[in-house]
Amino acid sequence: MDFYFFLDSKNFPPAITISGYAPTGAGSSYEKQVFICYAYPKNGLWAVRTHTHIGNATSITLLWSDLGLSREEISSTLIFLSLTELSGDYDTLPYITDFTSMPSWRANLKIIGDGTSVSYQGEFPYGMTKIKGGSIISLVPFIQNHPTINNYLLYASFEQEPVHKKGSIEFRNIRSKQTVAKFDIETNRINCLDLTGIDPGSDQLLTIATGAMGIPIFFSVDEQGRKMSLEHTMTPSEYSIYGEQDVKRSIMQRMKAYWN
Amino acid sequence: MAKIDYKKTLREFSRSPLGLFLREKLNIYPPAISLRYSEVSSDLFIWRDPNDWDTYFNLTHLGPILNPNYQDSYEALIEFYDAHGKLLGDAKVPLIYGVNALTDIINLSSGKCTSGNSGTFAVFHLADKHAFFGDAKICIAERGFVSYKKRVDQSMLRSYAHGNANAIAYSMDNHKSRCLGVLQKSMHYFRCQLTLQDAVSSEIALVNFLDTDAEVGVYQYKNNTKEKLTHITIHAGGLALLKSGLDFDATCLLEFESRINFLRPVIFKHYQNHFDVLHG
Repeated sequence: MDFYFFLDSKNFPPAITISGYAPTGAGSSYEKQVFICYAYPKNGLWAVRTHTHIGNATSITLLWSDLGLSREEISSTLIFLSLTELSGDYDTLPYITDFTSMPSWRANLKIIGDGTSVSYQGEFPYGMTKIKGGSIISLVPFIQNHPTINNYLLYASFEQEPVHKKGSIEFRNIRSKQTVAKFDIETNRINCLDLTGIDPGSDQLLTIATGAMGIPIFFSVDEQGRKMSLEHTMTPSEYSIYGEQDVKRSIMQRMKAYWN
Repeated sequence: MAKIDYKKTLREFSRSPLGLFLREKLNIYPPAISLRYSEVSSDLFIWRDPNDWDTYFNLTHLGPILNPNYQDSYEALIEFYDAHGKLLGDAKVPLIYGVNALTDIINLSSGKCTSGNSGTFAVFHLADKHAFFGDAKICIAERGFVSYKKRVDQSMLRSYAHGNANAIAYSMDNHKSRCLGVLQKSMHYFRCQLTLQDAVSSEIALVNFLDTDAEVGVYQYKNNTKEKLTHITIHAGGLALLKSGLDFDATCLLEFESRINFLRPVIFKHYQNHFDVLHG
């Protein structure tokens, strides 16, 4: 199963388009109606609720304001699909065995600007929520340095335990190995980090997130909010193909040992 | 005595190099692609009509994430293709450790990517694989990032999209490239899990990464009823560009039927003030 999240960049409204059908396979995926559920941390538990239901061959677009939660709660909210209505308070995130597909069952995660929108097909895999702490390293080609462009890192980090644990994310210059910026982050939220002042020029930067496993998503926007760009980084393992799992693992371990 | 988990053993074998080879040759659950260890792979990224668009690519030395101890410079080979999959030309660019080289693809093509046309390009890392991985059987893959600007916008901001698939490979042995897709035994379907109706107009780009022409059926679902919109042939390694209003109704769910495993489109959504580019 996969979860979906609102790309909360503080200044622009986020939305999610979620579909009741799989991306691949012949015919309809489910004959029944599909429930749109959500979970957010509240009083040390996951408050799980059902928002609505849709038909199996349809999509629905949820604006952040549709759920009736505060902006703070929205940045910690996970959306998911279920074949049954869910309501209650849970110690851990619900696990739904349906809605699996290859490739993943994704949703359109969107930020709405002035006369424009920007989005990507994304998900937060259930398996990633099982990783406690953890670290992730990625290349950062996205920062666009110009006086009229603002750059943000939206770091999506979610774990099973319904609390906000501390972590950090560091921007490192690859050639000099120097840290150019460091931010505090938390689990179970979209961490919106303002990258003003980070000017790599033509130097390649790397992000090293520790204590909070997540997905680094970069968002650039002009001063008027009329032009936008959004894309997530790739994990280092996606720059290679084939190889036995233990070989891939040892490559990742060597790389992490070098940068940590 | 420990029980043998036959299912798990078979699954692991089917994903091993020998298993993948046999699946392809015997046409039993053929894999999506067929790559050799002597090759490097790349997506087929899209370059757009230089009359209307600027197309960029961030060329990056992969040492920092694959083997940070390997800091020697190496070359990237960029091959340019037209919409029919015909090779237009190539260029080599040195990659320097720690440098993020934002590259104008149309300029780099030295007049090969011409106005009025669009096509694809591939980025092959001609690195010493042994220096990256030692003796491990593993291949380098270029997964992105491409970015675009619309000329009419006169904007400084580029819109990014990552790579989509391991579409094409270059052999370090015979110095030739070839499409990687394996023609599937049965029809495969891809449905976009998003809506297009919030945009003023949309374009859908489909890349055929088979080494043969691909027949693609384009369907739409309206009120739970599936109807065929059109049928297109995309040349081997070629590109098809569908436009809302002309080729499909943006209010409908779209489905693509072909014998390509994972025919995931690149989508351009045009809004009043700007555009969005993403994988469908």
